[in-house]
Amino acid sequence: MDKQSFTQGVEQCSRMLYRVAMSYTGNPSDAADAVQEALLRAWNRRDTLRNEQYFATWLTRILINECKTLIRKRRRMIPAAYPAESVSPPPDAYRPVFEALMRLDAKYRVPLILHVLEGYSIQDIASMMHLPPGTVKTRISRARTKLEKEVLCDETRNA
Amino acid sequence: MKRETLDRAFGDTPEIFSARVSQTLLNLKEEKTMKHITLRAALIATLLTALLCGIAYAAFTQGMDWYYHNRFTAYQQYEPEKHQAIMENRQAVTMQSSPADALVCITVQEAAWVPEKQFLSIILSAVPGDEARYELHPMWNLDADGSYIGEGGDEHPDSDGIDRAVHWLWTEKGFGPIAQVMDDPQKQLLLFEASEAWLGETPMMGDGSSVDSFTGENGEIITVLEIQLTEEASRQMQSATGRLAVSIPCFVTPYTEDDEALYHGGETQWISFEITIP
Repeated sequence: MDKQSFTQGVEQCSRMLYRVAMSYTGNPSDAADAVQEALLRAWNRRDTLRNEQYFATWLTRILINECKTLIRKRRRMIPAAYPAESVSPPPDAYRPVFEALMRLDAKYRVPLILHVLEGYSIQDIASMMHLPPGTVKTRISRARTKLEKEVLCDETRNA
Repeated sequence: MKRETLDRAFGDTPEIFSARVSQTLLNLKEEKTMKHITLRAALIATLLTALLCGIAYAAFTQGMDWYYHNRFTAYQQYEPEKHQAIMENRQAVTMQSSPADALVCITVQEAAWVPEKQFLSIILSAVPGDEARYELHPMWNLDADGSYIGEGGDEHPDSDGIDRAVHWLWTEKGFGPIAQVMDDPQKQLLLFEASEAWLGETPMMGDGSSVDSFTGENGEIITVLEIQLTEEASRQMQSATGRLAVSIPCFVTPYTEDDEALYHGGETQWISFEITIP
């Protein structure tokens, strides 16, 4: 894979990379760190990508691993600073959804984002996250329920 | 929860994020891998005369010239002016100092200062102080696929990409468990990282800077720092004439399975040297 097709592939899924990294890290600065590292690793290991059709899935998997590594390092360094840093503000009407989303445990949040937003199948997510498909399905279902409950609670509190 | 609602909840992609992605893509290096170079070198060694081998070795030891013509050739292809400027501004670094009895012996091979681009390239070479005891590799090559997760990972993964409980290293032998890919697993593994440069107390590495680190043909660790100067460093460089002192902290970490010590332990060896400002 040459630099031009790699760059093109990344540009096509850059919004997805942002959302996946944000789902893990909770702030744009850490998300950028994780994506940068993931891109460098992916570029250096591009010979392991057998079929360019699966570029986005392959890159997402590397990004997920990178996010886990970054979280592990960050936890050791600044235990309290995560993930309370500032985030890029969503439009006001959607802020409660974002805040509720960030309050979910990452093990629920990430499969939900990958499935609902990025359109990955249960099987793909299971493969990316090294989980049995049944577990992924359960987590997505729980994530939906928890998220809707959280948003509803916020709305009730604000009313 | 609808897809559109979730999408809007993330807001716009921040500029800081998009800029980092663009910058990273811009700096990707379309290098030839060391594996190919090793194979080629082996072929040369087998087939050619001692004289030709001597020439090949001389080409390698030219450092920066070799680097920009063999490993990282993107400037040649895409930014020929920058490539030419680097080649024309190469300078030997003679005034340098580093601790004599340190874990690693570090030498600055060459530097190239390109004032019109506010760009400084530095090439370092590092070898273990005690080669009988230590084997040196770039820290970058540890868990090069980012799949190490520690506790909860697979204890005996059979391929890369699987969440691992154990560290893997990338070497000339391939990517795998450390003991299997080291040249001599009886030696203590040392990990080397140099990714910062300082002008006195001023950090030099600005946006667009990059680092490349790899194992040379003689087992030395070659690190190339491509420094796009910070605003403050640029100001200092522009107002300077004659010689200017640059310092690079090099992090040397003996491998350990204790992640705390692995990521935050080790020692910092500073190398200081002077570059000539025309």
